[in-house]
Amino acid sequence: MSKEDLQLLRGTLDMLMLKALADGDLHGYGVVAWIRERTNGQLEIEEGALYTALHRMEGRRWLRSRWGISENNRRAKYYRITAAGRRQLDQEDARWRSYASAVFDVMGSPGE
Amino acid sequence: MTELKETNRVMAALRRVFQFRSMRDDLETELDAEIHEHLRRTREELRATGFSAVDAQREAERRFGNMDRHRLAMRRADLQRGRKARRSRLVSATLESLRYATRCLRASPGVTLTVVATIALGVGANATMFGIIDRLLLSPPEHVVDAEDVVRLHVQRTFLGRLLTGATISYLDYRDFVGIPGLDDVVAVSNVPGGGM
Repeated sequence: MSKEDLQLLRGTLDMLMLKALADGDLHGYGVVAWIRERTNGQLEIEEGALYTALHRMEGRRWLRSRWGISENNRRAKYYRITAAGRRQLDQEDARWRSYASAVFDVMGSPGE
Repeated sequence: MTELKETNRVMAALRRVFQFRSMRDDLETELDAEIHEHLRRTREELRATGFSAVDAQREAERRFGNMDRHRLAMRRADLQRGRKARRSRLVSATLESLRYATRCLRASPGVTLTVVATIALGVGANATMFGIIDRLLLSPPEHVVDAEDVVRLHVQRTFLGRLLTGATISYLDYRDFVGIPGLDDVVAVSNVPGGGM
């Protein structure tokens, strides 16, 4: 993925990760796997960038982290979305939808 | 009881200060642990799909991207969060101390009144004394343009065979002085109590 594409993605990356955590706590690997699975691997994002985003969002109090024991009995750092994180997710979600629909209005909806 | 509480508070503050270094070390350790755990899981997953150990390692690292750069960015985010947390702790601790002080003062109005009166008198007396000292010694006299040129002149003269020293100057003295080299610039003479010019 080129640099410009990543730049475009940075705003939506936070949204995708918050969405991944909206259904329950995950460790970093879980977030990465969730996004890869849902996008069928189409977003080739450096996993390190996802971890950086996790730490950055924790700094913004959208996430909280704690160390726990993973399903295969290893120490793993789990992330949980906060109330502020959910507000941010809703906001980003609404913004993204209106942005996407505006672009679709011009370009035609997918499948048209 | 309150004394004990105070002591505990001070001890906690000291602990926070001296723990700072080890907090930073913990941060590094946790960061490495998190990254290693991620790489280990990726490797495991890749091995399950038929990668060799070497290829799995290489592929896991490739997927993670530039390790140094990402690790640095994560660390920076963590440090920033730490700073923010410390700042908010400091603010809340200060507010708590202020609230505690207010409660104490309100609980004993007699003592409060005495302290306030004492401080008020002390400040008042000091301000007054400083005003006097300033007027007398520190600031130049008012209404004088070149205050640094004002001198006090003592005159010695012989009168009836006796040497007299005095600071009282008459107008005629002034007329005499004006002709003397070095005193050409004398503009005015004034006899202040105690004498002078």
